[in-house]
Amino acid sequence: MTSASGSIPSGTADPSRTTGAPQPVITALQSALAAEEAASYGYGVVGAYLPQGSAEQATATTDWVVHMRARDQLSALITARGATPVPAAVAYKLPEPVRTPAAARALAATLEDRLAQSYLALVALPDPSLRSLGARQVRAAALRAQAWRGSVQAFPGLPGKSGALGDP
Amino acid sequence: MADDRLVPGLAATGPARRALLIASVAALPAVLTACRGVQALGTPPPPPADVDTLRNAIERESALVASYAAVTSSGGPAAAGGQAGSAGVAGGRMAAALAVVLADHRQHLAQLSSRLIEPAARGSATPPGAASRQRVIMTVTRLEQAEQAASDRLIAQLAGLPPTLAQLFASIAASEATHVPYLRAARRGR
Repeated sequence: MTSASGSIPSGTADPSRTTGAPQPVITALQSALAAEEAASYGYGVVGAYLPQGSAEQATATTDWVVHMRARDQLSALITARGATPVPAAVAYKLPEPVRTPAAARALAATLEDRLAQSYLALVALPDPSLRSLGARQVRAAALRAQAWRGSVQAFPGLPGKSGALGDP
Repeated sequence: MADDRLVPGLAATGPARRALLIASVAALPAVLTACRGVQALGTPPPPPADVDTLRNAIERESALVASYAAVTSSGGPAAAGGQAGSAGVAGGRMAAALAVVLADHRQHLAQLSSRLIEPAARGSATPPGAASRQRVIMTVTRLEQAEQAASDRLIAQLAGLPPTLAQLFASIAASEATHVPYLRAARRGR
């Protein structure tokens, strides 16, 4: 297997192979898929650095499953539109090294921030079902970020408006 | 019990305001993939339904701001609602949480208001929610319910909105949903 790797995406994706659907639709779906793939990888790291058997670790496992299901849903939406889902990288470069439970929580919150950003691109699409899916996923990501971080943001998913963790 | 503490709030029902068009090019940084930049300058004013949706969102956000402003200016829910025995650490924690949430709502209101362009000649003398305020008693749990309802309403109104306004609605809906567990944690002293 080739050793593909990627960095955690920050809300945008390269336009990729396509299509029957308009390019912005595929681009937005691929971007959300990339963020979900990164989250699925990242939550593995998160879980590994939380206290063994803790409630937090159980939450990380639950969230991890949620992201894998969302990834499958996005892949199906992309396939249904005649495009090919971009496969996950084998490994991802994390925004910060994770060595402690605190760093693990911060990574989980960052992953959710980036998911919120990616899903917000779906909200800009005219298709009502994708718009609704995007909005519900932005909200779900914001709720998980709030749970990991303990604080709230005024504008989840909108860069530059709420000082999302991990943004320069 | 903290859940039962009564806090004063304001139910704001502003006068009907006249709006001409949504500032669809305003405010949002052009960071998202659907942004079309200069192309948006040629967008005609959206249909009146969008204006009504935005105006309603502004008035509801104004009401939330007024509710939280009343609570925080009265010294917090413990001070305002009796049940003095539950004040102290939990009360201070709650007051801080309410102030944070109020700040979020003020930012929401500012962003929503910036999307509405109104004629300077009429209607501008009355800020949203300034008239017909009626003092009501709200519990913190009721504020949480109001947050959830506001979030659900914004998401239900997305269809047909201009893209950047839909994104603003979705982001605010997400923020308001997070206020529910945030306030609940403060209420429980966590």
